[in-house]
Amino acid sequence: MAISPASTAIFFLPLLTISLFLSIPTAGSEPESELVADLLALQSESKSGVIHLDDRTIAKFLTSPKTPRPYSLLIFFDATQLHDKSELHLLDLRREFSLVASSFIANYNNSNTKLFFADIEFRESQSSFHLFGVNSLPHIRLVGPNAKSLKDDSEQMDQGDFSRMAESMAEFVESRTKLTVGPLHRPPIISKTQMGLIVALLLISAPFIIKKIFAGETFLHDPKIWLSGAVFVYFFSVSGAMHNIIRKMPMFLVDRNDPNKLVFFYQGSGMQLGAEGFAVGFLYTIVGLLLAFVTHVLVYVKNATAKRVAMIFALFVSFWAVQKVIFLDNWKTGYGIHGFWPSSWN
Amino acid sequence: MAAPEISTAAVPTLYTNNALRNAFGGVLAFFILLLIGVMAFSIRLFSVIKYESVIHEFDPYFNYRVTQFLAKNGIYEFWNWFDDRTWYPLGRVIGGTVYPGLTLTAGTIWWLLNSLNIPLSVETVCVFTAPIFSAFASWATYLLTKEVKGTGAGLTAAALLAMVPSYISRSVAGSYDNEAVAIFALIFTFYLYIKTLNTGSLFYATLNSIAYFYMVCSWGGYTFIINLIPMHVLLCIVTGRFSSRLYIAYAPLVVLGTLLAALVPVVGFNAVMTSEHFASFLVFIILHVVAFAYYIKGILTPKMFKVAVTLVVSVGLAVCCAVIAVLIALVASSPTKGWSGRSLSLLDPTYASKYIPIIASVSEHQPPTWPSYFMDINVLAFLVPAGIIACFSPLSDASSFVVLYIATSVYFSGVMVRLMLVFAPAACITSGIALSQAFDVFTRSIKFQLPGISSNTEVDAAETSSATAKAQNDAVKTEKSEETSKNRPSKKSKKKEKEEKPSTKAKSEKKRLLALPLDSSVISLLLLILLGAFYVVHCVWAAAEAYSAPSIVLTSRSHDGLHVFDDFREAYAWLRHNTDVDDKVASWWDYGYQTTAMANRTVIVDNNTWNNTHIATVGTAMSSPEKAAWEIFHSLDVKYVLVVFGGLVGYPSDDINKFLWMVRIGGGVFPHIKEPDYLRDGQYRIDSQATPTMLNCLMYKLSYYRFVETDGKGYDRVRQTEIGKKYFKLTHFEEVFTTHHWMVRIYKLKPPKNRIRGKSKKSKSQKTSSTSNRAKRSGTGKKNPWH
Repeated sequence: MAISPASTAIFFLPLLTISLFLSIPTAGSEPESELVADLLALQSESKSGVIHLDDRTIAKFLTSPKTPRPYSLLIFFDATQLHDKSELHLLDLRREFSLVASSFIANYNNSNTKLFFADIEFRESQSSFHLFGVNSLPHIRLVGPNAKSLKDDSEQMDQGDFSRMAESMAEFVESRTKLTVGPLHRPPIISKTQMGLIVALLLISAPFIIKKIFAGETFLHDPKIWLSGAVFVYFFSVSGAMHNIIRKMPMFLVDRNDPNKLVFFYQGSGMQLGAEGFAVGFLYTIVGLLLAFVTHVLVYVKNATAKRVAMIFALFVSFWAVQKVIFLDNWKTGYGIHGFWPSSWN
Repeated sequence: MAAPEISTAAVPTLYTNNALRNAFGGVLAFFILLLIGVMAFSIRLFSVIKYESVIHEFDPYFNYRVTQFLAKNGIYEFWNWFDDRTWYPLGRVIGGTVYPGLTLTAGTIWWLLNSLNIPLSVETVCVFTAPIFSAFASWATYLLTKEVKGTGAGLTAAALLAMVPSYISRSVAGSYDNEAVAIFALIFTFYLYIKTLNTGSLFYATLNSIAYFYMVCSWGGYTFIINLIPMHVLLCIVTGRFSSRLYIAYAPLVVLGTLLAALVPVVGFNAVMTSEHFASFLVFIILHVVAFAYYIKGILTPKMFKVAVTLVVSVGLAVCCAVIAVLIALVASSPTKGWSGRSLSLLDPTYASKYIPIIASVSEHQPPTWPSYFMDINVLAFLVPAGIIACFSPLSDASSFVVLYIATSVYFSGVMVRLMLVFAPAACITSGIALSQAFDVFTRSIKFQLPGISSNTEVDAAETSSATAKAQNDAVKTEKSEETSKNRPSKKSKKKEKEEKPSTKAKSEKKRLLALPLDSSVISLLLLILLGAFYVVHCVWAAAEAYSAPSIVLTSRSHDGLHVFDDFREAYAWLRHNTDVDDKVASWWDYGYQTTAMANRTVIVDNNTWNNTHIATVGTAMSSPEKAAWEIFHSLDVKYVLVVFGGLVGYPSDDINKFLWMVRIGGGVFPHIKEPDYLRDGQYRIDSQATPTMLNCLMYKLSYYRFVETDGKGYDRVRQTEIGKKYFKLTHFEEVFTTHHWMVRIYKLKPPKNRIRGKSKKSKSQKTSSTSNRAKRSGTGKKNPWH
């Protein structure tokens, strides 16, 4: 009981200072305290705490009030029609953005009036986009209290600042506004109720699973599953997929000299492209699979012509694959592998 | 009466015939194994033939020095050895911080040879330890594969392993490092595990624990074993393959193995305290629960068992949950969740690149690309999937282990190129199985379809014809590659095994039906032989060209013939012969092991980079101006400073190229060293555009002192430019030795007495400056922890 009055006092303190501050320059269409109250209301309306702005509200909150405004706005520029372009990561960034917003609001207990998070949609508010001079996405912009011209005085978040998602966005905010964002409250991958459910399900199903295991009836007892799993792991590893994941290599590159051409194979042994790795991994694997097919399956086939045709096919493909890999390896690494024959042979 | 007589007469002949064939096959297999051993040994001698019998690189020199100490002072002295020749003035406890397996092995070999009056030097023994153990490793591979798929596959796998490039890269003559013996220990431990699993013998289980102990002694990679075997046990339990043999194979290994592992000082209580080992304990408990369940099932009636099973399952679950909770609590209480960074980066490949750049930056820890696989296991990459499938038909305890081994190791090798070494034996085993089965099928097809024999359906005739068919094949093959010759007995023994059972007409008829078309079989056989031949050519090339350079002696081939650069040993020999035995030599840490081993002088830092502050002190000295550097070195009692300089001959990995690392590491601890001071516009350069800090630092001066006298211009062949400051004198150091190609330069610190007397002779103002110098020197002591 003793705490709640204190916290309300803290809650009102910024408002009080703002209203004191406002009482002197009484210009502008609306008193600034009302603007802040409006913003707070809008903020509480949205689920994540990101205020949705359009041309009208931009005018209301940014262009018409005189500087210095009592708040900063961090604006995320969104475009619904570009959501399906996966290389822009708009949806991911949007999610991270609202994560920063909700964490910020939660850390300040809904009582911060210095910084608000907002987003604008391109279709709805094209003129605002024009006002900010935004012509490429993704784009995040901080409008400080003293920004007069939205285009020139506001600060744009660099590509590097949102590359590391929410953490770097928070850093950006902290460095520019001198406000601490505090710890980010990432939603756990599975919520507590889900967790409880899973544990309960596991506990209930455990006796049945164990019974099945004793009876030998699970899919784990099917060697085919294990076989395909093992071959897949092999394919995955020899294709260098780990390299692609760790280094975040693209599947292919666009040729610098000719933008219409795609480069699938990279020369030089230290690096590889995604498609290249999978292609060679496939070649590595197919030969062994064909050999196994011939030795384990084909021998049981009764029809002699079918046998012969299948074998010739297998031989041809294997020979081609091996020869292709050798050729590619020589081309990529530049090694000249040679034998050591007796000198009298030359 | 006549009919039985005939049959009794026929049986012994058949019997003796088979016994004779068995004996013949055994002898042949023995000789083939012998030849494989010889091949494994001799393919690794390229480094000795092309260069000389010398220890390679850096770490092997340390192992060599430890072995020398062991040979001289005995095992107890070695166990308690505190080395004061390195990390001066701190020293290092060697006995408690090394994996002693390699050293003890080589020391034992040396002792054995000497007690047989074979006077080999310790160095010779060390150089040839790795090739000898490669032969052992290929024999161990034979044993392991034989347990899984029979003699033929075993011989093929052994031949493949004897020359697999990945393993050659770590075990050429002179490469005296832990991996040399560890791979043998790894395969042998796996063999004994499989052997125990197949026989259920406690004798092999005990041997298995001892082999595991040897592995723990030899290499940190033993954690792979203690995680793979529990995984296999769990797999067997889950897929309903539990048996008492499994229990005998696993339980003694955990108990005895863990106890033995804790005896190794480096491991100690880690054997029970770190998460890498927890999986084995968990599986140990599960195994007991399952064994108990089976036991109860055996003594109760089915009805009673149903009642009991609920009880057992619930009790077992409770115990498991409790243990898992304890484990999780233990793991969670440690900051890295109980896993070392390296293990974590194996489980989550992106871990290292995110959190531990020092691990991510080591070239051995990079993820490999597809050419790495072709370089390191070559055509085996094509054969492995066939081997995996062969392991599944039929699936046994042993073959499921091989599948698990290959799946885990291939994944790990995909994360870290270094672990290709663990993957290579698995690839050899599966490829051996695949090759041997393919040869089996193809030769069988040829044997039953050769024209002229097809009409003769009698078993004996068919068998003799098989022999002739093989002989013909051999005639074709012998010149092609030795590998196929290893496959020959595989077919034989395979067939033996099969024919031994029911060698009847019906069987041979059935086999005839399982044959493939004659012509395509012949072509396939030829192509497989070609593939094997390509493998041999590649392996010999890799051994000869790619993996044999010792990096202590360098060679370069130019138009006027071969040049040999033996400057390193020249410099170390000079140090050994011309300096006092207790003098301290400062150099960058790369050369620490070599200096202690070859020059027998005390060093400040070495390749066991355990103390970052110490390394930073040396880095700071190298990046400071002469006077400050002199003070730091003087406070460390350093008499000589050694720098490696490649500018004259174009040796790129010299100290000037490593210099930025010295600055960075030094600056990390002593903030007055700043990297931007050494860079002009972010560029590292040593020409006339270089910064004054760069041109005045000790490393620059020691590297380029008198360099202009060589060609009159001071042209650096590595940096491809003329140096910035050409004419300068050294005030606090004097050059005492420069090797033939200027690759190693040794300087002596001038004694302080002379310097002060020289200054006191001068004018009064100079005197005051010298006193202020002294005051400053005591002031700079703050920057230097050794003052």
